[in-house]
Amino acid sequence: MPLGALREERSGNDRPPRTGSRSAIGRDLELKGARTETVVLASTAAALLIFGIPLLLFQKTLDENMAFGIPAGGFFMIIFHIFMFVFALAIGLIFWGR
Amino acid sequence: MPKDLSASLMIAAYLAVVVLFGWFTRKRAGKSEEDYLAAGRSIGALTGGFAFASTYSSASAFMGSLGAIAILGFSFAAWVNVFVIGMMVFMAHLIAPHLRRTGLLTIPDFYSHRYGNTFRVISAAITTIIMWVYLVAQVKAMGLIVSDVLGIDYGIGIWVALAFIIYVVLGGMYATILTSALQEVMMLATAFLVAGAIFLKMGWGGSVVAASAAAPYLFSVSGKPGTVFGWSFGLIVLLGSLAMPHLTMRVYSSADEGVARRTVALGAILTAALYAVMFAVPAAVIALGIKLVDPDLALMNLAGRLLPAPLIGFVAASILAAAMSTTDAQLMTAGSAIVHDIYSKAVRRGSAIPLERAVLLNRIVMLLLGLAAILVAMNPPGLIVLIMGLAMAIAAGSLLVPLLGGIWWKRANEPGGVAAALAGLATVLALHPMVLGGALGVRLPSPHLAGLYGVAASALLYILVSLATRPPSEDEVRLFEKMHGRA
Repeated sequence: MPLGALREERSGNDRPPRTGSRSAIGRDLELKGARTETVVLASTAAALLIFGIPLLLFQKTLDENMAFGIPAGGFFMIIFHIFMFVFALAIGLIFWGR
Repeated sequence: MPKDLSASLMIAAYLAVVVLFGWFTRKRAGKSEEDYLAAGRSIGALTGGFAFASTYSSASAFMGSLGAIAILGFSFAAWVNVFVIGMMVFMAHLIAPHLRRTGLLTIPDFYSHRYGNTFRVISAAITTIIMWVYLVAQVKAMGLIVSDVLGIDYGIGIWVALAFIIYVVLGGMYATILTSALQEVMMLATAFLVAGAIFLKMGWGGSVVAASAAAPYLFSVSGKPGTVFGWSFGLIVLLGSLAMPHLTMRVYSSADEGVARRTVALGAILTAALYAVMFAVPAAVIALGIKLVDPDLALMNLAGRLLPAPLIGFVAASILAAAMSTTDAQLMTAGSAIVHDIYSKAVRRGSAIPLERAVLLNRIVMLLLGLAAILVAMNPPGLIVLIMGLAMAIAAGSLLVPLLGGIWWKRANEPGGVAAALAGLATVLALHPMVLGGALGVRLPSPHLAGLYGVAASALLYILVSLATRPPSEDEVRLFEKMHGRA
């Protein structure tokens, strides 16, 4: 099979149909799409809450205790910055093909 | 203040390159309105992702935010930065692919197909206002940088903004996206260059500990303005950015909906990388005891202390790039809202404008808008980050609910959309201290709460009015189904 035809066939298999009737395959793809969005949105919301709740609830404790020479709250905020980079990278890579 | 010839040459070289981008893309951009406003829908995920990240990271990333961190503390920026990454993940999955499926040209295009022509005019007018507020802040940033590096008067330096006006007018979205991708590369290079210089000088840990000892508010959870200011600003940036037309409009230039999703995902990764290292700058400024006359110039002051002259020029060019990568998109969005949505679709009621005249009209309007922004920015408004907060509040209050609801709630209709936009806008204008809030005697714990109250008012009226009035028309439902790949 010519390489071009193979590429075309693969690309046709990999991509969900953009339009068309609600066939069984279409419904299946739709469900998978919905699950993807649910996972992504739930994990992002969870990450934001993991950042926000400790800062709001334990503000005084975090400010009064030191970690590596700075207030623990500041240390937590810096660590979370780095975590969000890793998180964005992971989410981007996992769902890149969709 | 650095006024070295090599630094000036570096800025001149950058300006020449971006203007050349406009010159070389002018013919492709002039082929049709789709080419001019959506780059012929030909942009891939890699170029698009770099362009999206730089469009988001305005002058605020290198000027406003860093200066504000130095004087207010890190906590408010931490909320913003973390929420911004969340925003981009939300945009990649909740908005971008669905808007791209519509095959439309502008964001008011979406609103009019989903809610009717009245909403097109309302959203185009609001879009123009939002873009204007933001544009003036960015032009101010350009003037500050050039006057600082070249040692010239701010009123003269501000005319550097002509460069981005020229390349946008000539090359449209083609030039906007290509320059934005280049600008993101420059911004990332600067971020890692400065972070590396700080590391070599005192080590990251050393600068952070020394800064915390010199300014205890810097790394406390509440910072100077308090926790409410921090989380409310983070939340309004998240919500406002989702509705920012110059960001969402970018997805129309993607080759297809999958590319649109990947574009925003790559944008999130690049933005997160930039923010993960830039927090070191305000800490180093304080640790080195640099006195900030203008907080917005914190990065330039630090670069002047740590880097040789040519690299200071590169940093200055990168800050210009950060400002221009956002202003070009804003100019495109404001111009297209006036020409495509108000004049062509509403005033002429969609009767065809000859191809060449349509592109020419876009070019003239964008030129006038750009020049007017320079004239307004002659008298510098307040801190860049505060002006940006107002634009975010207006975007979130007026446009977010109709945008998300239009994509995800089938029952939403035109009366609900109109009521939501107007109620949200009125709430923000009435409560925000930079608009009517001060005159009306409104006292909020944080100015950004005005935007959050706007979102709440908008959502409430959206649901109530939509349910109380007729169901959406067949055309509106058809667009809804198309956005979800079912029509």
